[in-house]
Amino acid sequence: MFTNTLLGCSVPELVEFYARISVTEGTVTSEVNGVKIEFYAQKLGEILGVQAAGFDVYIREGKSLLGKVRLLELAQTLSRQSGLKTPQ
Amino acid sequence: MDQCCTDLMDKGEQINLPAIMIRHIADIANTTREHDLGYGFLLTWVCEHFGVELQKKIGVQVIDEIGSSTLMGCGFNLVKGEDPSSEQGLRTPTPPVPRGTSNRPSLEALQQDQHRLQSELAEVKGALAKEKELSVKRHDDLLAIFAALTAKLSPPAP
Repeated sequence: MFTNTLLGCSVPELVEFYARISVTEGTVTSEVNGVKIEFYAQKLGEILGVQAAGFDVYIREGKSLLGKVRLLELAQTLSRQSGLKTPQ
Repeated sequence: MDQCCTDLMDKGEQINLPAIMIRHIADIANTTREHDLGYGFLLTWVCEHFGVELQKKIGVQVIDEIGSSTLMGCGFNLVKGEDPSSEQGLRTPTPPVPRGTSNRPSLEALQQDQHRLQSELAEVKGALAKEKELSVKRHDDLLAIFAALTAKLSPPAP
C-alpha cells in the first residue's frame, strides 16, 4: 500500500461515495457512477494489500490516550530530532 | 486515533487498518458535523478496484506529504530559527485554534452529537456493569475453591 506510486484522489467520486454510503455491521456499501461498491475489513485488506489483523479498536478523534511524555518521545523518534523538549 | 496507531507502530504491534478505516468511515458518514472526505487516496483506489471510471484523478503531490504543516495542523507549535538540538524545537500539542465561525457546527448538530455520545456512554456503562458482575462471580468462585482446597490440604486433627 505504501509503495503504490499510482495513488491519486478523485473528489467527485469521493463525494458520491460518501453521499450514498451505508455501513452495516462492518460492511460498507455505496454506489459510484452506477457501480455498486461493497467491502468489509477482510476484503478491504485484500484490495489495499494489507492484513486485516491486529489492533482494531477505533478511538474517536480528539481523545488522546497517550501522555505528553510519550507524545514527545514519538515526535522525537519520527522527526529524528532527539533534542526536542517540552516547553517549561 | 492517529496517536494511538503511531504508538503501536512504534512498538512494532500489528494494526488492523482496514477494520479501523471502516469504523472511522462509519463515524464520518454518521456525524452531523462538517468533516473532510476521509481516506481520499485509499477510497479512490477502492473505486478503481471496482471499475469506477474516475473523472478527475489528481496524483500525490508534495503538499500531501507529512511535513511541518502536518505537525502544525496536529496542534504542534514549530519555533522558527531554533536549533533543532536546542531546548524548544517543538512544543507539546495544544488544542488547535478553532477556525472561522462559518465552520462551527450548529447547536442542533452539537445536541445530536451529544445525544449520540450519551447513548454510547450508556452502552459502555452497561457493558462495564456486566463485566463487574462477572468479576465478582469469578472472585467468589475462586474464594470457594481456595476454601475447599485449604480444608482438603489442612492436616487432620490429632
